[in-house]
Amino acid sequence: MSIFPFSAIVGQDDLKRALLVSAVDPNIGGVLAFGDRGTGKSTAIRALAALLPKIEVVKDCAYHCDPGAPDKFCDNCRLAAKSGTLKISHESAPVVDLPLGATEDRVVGALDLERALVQGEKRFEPGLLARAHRGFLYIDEVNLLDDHLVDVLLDVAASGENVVEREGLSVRHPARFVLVGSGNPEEGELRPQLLDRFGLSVDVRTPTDISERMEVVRRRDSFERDPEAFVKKWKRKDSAVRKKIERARENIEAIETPDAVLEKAAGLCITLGADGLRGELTLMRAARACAALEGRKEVTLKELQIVAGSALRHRLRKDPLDETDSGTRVVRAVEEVLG
Amino acid sequence: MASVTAHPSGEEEGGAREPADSGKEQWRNAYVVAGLLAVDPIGLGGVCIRSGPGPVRDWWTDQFFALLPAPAPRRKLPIGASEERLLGGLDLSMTLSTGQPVAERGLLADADGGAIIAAMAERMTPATAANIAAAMDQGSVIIERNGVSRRDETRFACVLFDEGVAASERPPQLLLDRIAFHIDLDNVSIRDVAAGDFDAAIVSKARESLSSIETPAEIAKAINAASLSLGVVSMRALLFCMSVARASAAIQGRDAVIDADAELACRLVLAPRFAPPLVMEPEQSAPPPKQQNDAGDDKESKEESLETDEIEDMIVNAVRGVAMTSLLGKSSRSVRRNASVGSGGKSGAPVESKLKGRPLGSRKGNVRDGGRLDVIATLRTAAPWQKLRSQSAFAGCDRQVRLSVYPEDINIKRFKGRTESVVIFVVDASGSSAMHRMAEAKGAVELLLADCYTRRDHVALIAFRGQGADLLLPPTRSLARVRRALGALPGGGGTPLAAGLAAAATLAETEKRKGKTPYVVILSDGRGNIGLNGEPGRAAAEEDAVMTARRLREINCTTLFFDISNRPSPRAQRLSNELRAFYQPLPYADSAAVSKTVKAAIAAA
Repeated sequence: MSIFPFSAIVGQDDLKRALLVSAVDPNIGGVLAFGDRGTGKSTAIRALAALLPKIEVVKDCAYHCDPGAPDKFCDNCRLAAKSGTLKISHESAPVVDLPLGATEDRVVGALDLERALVQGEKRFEPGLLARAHRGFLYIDEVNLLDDHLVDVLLDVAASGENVVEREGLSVRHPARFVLVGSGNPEEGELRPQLLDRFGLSVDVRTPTDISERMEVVRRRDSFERDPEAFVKKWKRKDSAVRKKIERARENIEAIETPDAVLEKAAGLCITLGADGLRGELTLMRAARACAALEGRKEVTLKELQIVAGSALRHRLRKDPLDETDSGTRVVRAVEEVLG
Repeated sequence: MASVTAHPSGEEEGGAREPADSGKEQWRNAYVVAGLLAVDPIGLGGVCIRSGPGPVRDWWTDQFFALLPAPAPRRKLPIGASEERLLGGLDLSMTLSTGQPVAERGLLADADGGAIIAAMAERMTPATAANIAAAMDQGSVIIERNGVSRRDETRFACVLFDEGVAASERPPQLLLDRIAFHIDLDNVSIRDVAAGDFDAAIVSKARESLSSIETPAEIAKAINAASLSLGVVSMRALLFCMSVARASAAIQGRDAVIDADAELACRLVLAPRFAPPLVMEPEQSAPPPKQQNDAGDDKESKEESLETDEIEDMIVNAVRGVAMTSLLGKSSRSVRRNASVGSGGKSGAPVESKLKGRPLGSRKGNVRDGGRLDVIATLRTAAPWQKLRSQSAFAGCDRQVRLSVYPEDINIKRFKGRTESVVIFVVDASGSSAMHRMAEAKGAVELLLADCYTRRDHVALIAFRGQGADLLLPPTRSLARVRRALGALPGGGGTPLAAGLAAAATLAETEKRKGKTPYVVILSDGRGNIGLNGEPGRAAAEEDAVMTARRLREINCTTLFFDISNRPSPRAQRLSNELRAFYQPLPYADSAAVSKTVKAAIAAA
């Protein structure tokens, strides 16, 4: 099945930028796309998966260990490195779907049933968290995810490590992934703890501009009529986006953040009462990744302004009786602080 | 050539047009939908049919399947279907007898090329709906369960039968959003059923020609503009309109969409999604001004855009007409349906869950029934028999068997499920202090919800004023929905207390049948002056109130009565006693106090 090209998605600039930003810097902590139904949230996320740059991995390693970081090797790779049999390959960064119907054993990994049943052997079979290591973990309808799976995710996302103690197994392996969730608030709110794990949050709205809507219809139509031709037509633009991510990844370390910008970022968080250090840290990281995507040498107030909404919106202390949309509150604060 | 008789243009030969909710018209509509859906079953997603069980809907289903390309699998989705059955997973018996993991396809994968049929779709859990929706979106089922990890390609249409009684009982929205048609078969009697004007051959020809059908730009634009001015902004609705229009043109043997196709499509897709703006937040209900329609498209000549406007107007009027008729029809129907509600069904006592909650250890059972396999316990059960089994069952087998596990060894895990609670607010919105009281009730609802994230409690709100009671907020745990539903609350008029209590009783019953634990919170002074029949008269009204209070008491749920009169009133106390309610005078009805008391009551229960 062909995947709708990323660059052919009409509008939804906030969502697309947030996805690119978190692809440039995985430490930002992923993206939550919350909003109206049928706005192409999952389309955008699956499209991103198709254009992510390849990563360097240890060949045949279940955890996609990074050959450049021997201190973070899994046990197998450590042994292989010692004996000098480590092989390197380039693979697409994994984008793993966490289906709502997944059972805990498949998420964290469990006893390999085949071996247990056929050979009576106790062997660990890595789960989705292992598969998502160094890539993306995508949960559609994230607010419907079973509570016990949410608990597992929270724990792993915080520590970057999956510890399995079940069925007589005792395994630990690295699991660092960019968490991407999407959902509709009408199905229910997200647990605040989980909300906090997401670095960026985007409020996705249905476009009401008639020409934008017409363009969506047109592109959808020509994609459905001939998916392959459509994908081919957008291939150049998609690879331009891929190059942009690659270049931004290379340059991001060198990007300076002037003190004046740092001060403004702190001021913004104080004005909004955005809880904790995490908001400020995410804001700065996102602004830096954004500057890297734009090809800048240093972070300016403009990037701060662009990412402020998605970095802070979901971190505001909630007053249940205040009806003001938190996005509006951020916009107001940005105007106030950044002028 | 075939003609689609349900065209709304009113040009039907032979007498006056039937009203849109008459049985004949509904059936004709449904038949057209069956044809259109059969032309493009995957693109249009499916259909939600409001109808109780009976021969009419079976007939419809048979007709629909007859129009699909054979062989079209028809898979019934039982209401309690486990995720294991829905998605597929490990076939344990096969696994054990062959000695290696054998995956089993689920219902969704089996429905590939046909349709799934879900009766009582209003009882479908959001989790089931989300699984179905994910399969529809991706054209495949992803299984990550019990040691099985695979992907089954599948493309199917969804036929949902909505048998809901109360307004709050509807199939999950996330599924409704993904299917084009929402129709009614409620008033159709078996006499109305007749064969339509097209058959499988025409539909199959239409299916082949579908991809070559063009939609002229001005018609596409008119559909777009019409959906915006009707306030149906969803992109999926728009795309469905386009696809239905194309399917309609294909059935008619045309090579391009004409305005009649567009009108039919919009009437079928937009009318059920169109909600007359009764209570709506201003920022959400703003369709862009009409001038915008032509903005940014200079290429088109004036003549063309005029035509676009004309088509748009035609569509908007048609859709409005249908939507209004069906609204009027619905109110009378819901009364009739409410009258026949029995009190059967299971109670909402805490349930032992097979999949969720705190582990309770394991027991023998079948993984097919939705349990989760307890590997260790299963192997432990199998262990003592190993020697015996290796001598008999696999004796002839040359493969060395380390372990033989039989189906009867299988243990599944048990979990203690925590039932979800639903707090039903019943608020007096009559008289002068209504605004203040409603504001505080709304505050209490929001405070409770803000606090309930982790407990996953639902909140509903019924207001009574004027002649009757309204369910302003169907059970939800979404703050976004609360804000929208309670954004602008009307108030004033008489005090139909009995109607409020009756509405609460009905809702509490419904929720209890769904396995939830209802709590009823009443904010009132206990002084009703409008009876159940909507007539004024204090004596009759109070008698009605006492009678309904007894009905509510029969449901046996925790009830809290906040007396909001200036000083504790004996009437309120009497009513509260009648309800066996927890009584608390609260002259200023402040939201914090209410939410605190309710929380304490839930915690105590």
